[in-house]
Amino acid sequence: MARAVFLLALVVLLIASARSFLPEETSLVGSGAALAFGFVLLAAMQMGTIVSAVRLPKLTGYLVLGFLAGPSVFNFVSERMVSDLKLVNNVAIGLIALSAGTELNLKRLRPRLRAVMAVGGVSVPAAIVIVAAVIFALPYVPVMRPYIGFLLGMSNGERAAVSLVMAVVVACLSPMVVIALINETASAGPFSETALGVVVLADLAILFIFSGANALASSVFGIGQGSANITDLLIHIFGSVGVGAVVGVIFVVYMKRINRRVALFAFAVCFVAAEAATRLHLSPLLMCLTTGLLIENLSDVEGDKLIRDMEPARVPVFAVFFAVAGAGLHWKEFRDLIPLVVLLAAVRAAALYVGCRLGMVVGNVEKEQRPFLPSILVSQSGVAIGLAILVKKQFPTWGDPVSTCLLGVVMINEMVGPILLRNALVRSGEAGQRAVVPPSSGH
Amino acid sequence: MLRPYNLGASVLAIALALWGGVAAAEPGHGQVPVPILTGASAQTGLLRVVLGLALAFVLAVLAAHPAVRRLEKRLGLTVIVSSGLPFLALGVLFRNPSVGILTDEVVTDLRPALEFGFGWLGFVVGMHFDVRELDRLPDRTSSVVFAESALPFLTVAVVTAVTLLALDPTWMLSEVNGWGDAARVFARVSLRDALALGACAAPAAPVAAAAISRGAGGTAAWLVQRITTLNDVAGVFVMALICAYYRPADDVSAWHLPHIAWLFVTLGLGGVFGILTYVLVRGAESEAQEMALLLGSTAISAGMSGYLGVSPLVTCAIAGALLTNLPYKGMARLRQTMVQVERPLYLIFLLVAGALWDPTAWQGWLLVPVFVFARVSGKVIGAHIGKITGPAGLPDPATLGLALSPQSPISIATIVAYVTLYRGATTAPVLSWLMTTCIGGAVLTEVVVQVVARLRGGLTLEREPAAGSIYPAPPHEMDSLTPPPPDVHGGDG
Repeated sequence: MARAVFLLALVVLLIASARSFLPEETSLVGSGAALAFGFVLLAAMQMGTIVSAVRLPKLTGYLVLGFLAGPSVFNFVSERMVSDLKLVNNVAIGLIALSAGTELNLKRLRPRLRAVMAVGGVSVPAAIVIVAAVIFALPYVPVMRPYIGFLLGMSNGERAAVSLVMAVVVACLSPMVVIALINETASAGPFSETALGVVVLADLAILFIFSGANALASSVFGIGQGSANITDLLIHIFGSVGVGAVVGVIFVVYMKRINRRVALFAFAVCFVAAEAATRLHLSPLLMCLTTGLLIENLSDVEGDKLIRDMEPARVPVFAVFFAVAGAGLHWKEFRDLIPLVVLLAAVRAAALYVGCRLGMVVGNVEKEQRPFLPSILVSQSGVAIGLAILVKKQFPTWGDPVSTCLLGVVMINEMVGPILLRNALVRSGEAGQRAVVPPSSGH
Repeated sequence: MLRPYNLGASVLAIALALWGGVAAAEPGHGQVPVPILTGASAQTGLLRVVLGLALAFVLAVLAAHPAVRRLEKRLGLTVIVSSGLPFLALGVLFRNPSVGILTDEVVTDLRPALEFGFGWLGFVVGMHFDVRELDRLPDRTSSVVFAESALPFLTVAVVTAVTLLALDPTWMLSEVNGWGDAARVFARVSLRDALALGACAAPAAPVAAAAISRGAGGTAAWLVQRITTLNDVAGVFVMALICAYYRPADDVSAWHLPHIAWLFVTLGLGGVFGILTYVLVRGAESEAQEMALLLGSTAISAGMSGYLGVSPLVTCAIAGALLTNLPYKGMARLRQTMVQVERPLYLIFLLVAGALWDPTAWQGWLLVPVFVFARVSGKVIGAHIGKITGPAGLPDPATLGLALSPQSPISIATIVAYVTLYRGATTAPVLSWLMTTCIGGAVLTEVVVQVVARLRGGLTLEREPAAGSIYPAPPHEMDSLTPPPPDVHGGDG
């Protein structure tokens, strides 16, 4: 740990001195991106080591480092640098989704499918309904009125639509955090598989629900045509799944016919898929998830081999991805809405907890898993952030404060969720249970 | 075949480079107040850029396949001629407005990727500077290294300075009024360009060693290989001087230091980066983590150097030299990892060189024979001096001079580094000439050397190393950093 602290101090010193070279308002093309990438990667990894020494997830260290180094606090990594680094996000999402897909073996999951469906199927709707009801009722609570200016003066229908949209985004889970922590703790077992199944399927369902809520709100506020929005979102979802399936077929053919430099191929696929998806308004997450699912479940190609080959790429990608997510959290905007944000985060947690307990009973979840399963639902990250930004773009009249509020909720859950999940993985006894398989050779 | 770990290195380094380029190619980037680095990016058709660059990077990895290297060895060609020319052509094609992949904006925005590549190459160059290996060199080898570095540098710098003096359009400027102004303009631009070409003249391709191993025996080959690797250092040293004395971003920076201080800053940065990398990789818990840390330290070293307007090639070479001389049991693996990505990076630099290149400017082509003549002359004179002052066991001066003539790919990286560092509206035409000179010079040198060698029969590639040769130095080891045999003091006589 002393080494990590020393190294963290050294890289901080380096970037602080480098940033003093140019006046605040000046930036250089390119160099800033390379400098920020190097700093974020090294500093996040050291921070990960430091926090893991105090039994916190490395991921929390990455997030905290990003937040502290980002524009909100020390500004070592400027807004422009964060923007440059965001391209790593798409690749990271592609990689994470590909890993998730290849780890979701539906045949293995079948015995737990009922539990997965029940937990996800009860807790997410419960969270949406309860959070929406609370938001809808907020104007009647005088103490909250200063924080909900965007809701005041709306008709009941409009307020209901806004509440629904917000509640759907607030209900988002985080497959990325779950996968990253399962990898970090080398966990394996029924709890890990159930957790993965729940968050992946629930987030998929949330995307569909959001498309409906978005269309409803658009028609209520007279923005575009509701049906057109629904069509766009259906194209977004099914288009992503379709393109992902095609990529999966190409992947399988490549691995069967050529089977050389698979990691390079996978990385290139994730990169191109991420960029192409963004340009074509598709979801890199859904695309790569479908690709991974297809590889694991519909082909005789070993998904495990792919995961092993990708291992060297995952460490830096995860570190940078979560550090950039931390850097993207805006303290100043969050500060003005703290009471509302904390309230929503608390209501969300309570609703998910209640929904999860109910779902566990309905799905007849094994007793051994019951104490830990609610912890998987707390984290939020990529999808929630993406949807919050979409809300801001889609609804200019009220989207801005709503988006800030939603990002604030994400910020809290991003910090708290990984700690709870790591704790659950360790206490469930599944941490460290994954067999250590050396990377395959000679491909 | 690549080991997975090293494959991971390739994947990460290339992907990072790809990311860097595309990150900066996002519309809206590139709006900076630094005059020499400006270039506001318009909508550049990001998807096309992504796909085009992805294709180029995949091709670069394929062109680094061992089969291509074996073919090169058999034909005695450098990477520039064997697989580099297609990349150069691809760069020219990508630049074409109808293709529009490597437009001016995209090349400007490619800076983070290029910087990372320069940093990586810098580490590779520096890692050749292993003091323990240098100690094993025969006495007086340094005089050959010095002669083979300094003379080509001087001959090229002087001859091209004079030629640039005649060709440079700067002289048409109205501000040039009298000898005082003329001297100032010459010192400001033409001398800098000539020094940069001089820096490209010193490095020699390692193919020379393979050729000599067949023509003159293993000992000579081993010595020549060491000389070529040390020649690279001369180019880096000159780049350090150029960057310190011709500051690219002084007008907007908050630091106002004298030129000599920048030289010390460069040296200090290299030292800090070397120590940082060392402490980082020593504490790595797994190979994957070591890889990530290596990437991070290369990125921060290259990025910070670029941010400060110092050449990443130079600072990272210093860092690499320091790193390789510190005790670390995984150093051999680290070197192998770094060297493995070297070739794809060279090919990418050739691609960028193609995009920066304006082959229609006749001045560049005029400079090519001047450059080649000056450089080969410098190498041959250096070989004669080296034969007199150097250790026993060297091949005859004509063979040595010819063998050290093919240009190292590091010279292409050097000129691309130079051009990207000083790229600006007023100097663009001259920088393009330099590109033509360096690229054309590499090809012409190769042709000249092949023709002369075949005519002389001295560097023919048919003969295998003599049976029972003390230092067989098989060709596949020549490009690597395989440690030399332990008992080579005084050569083989």
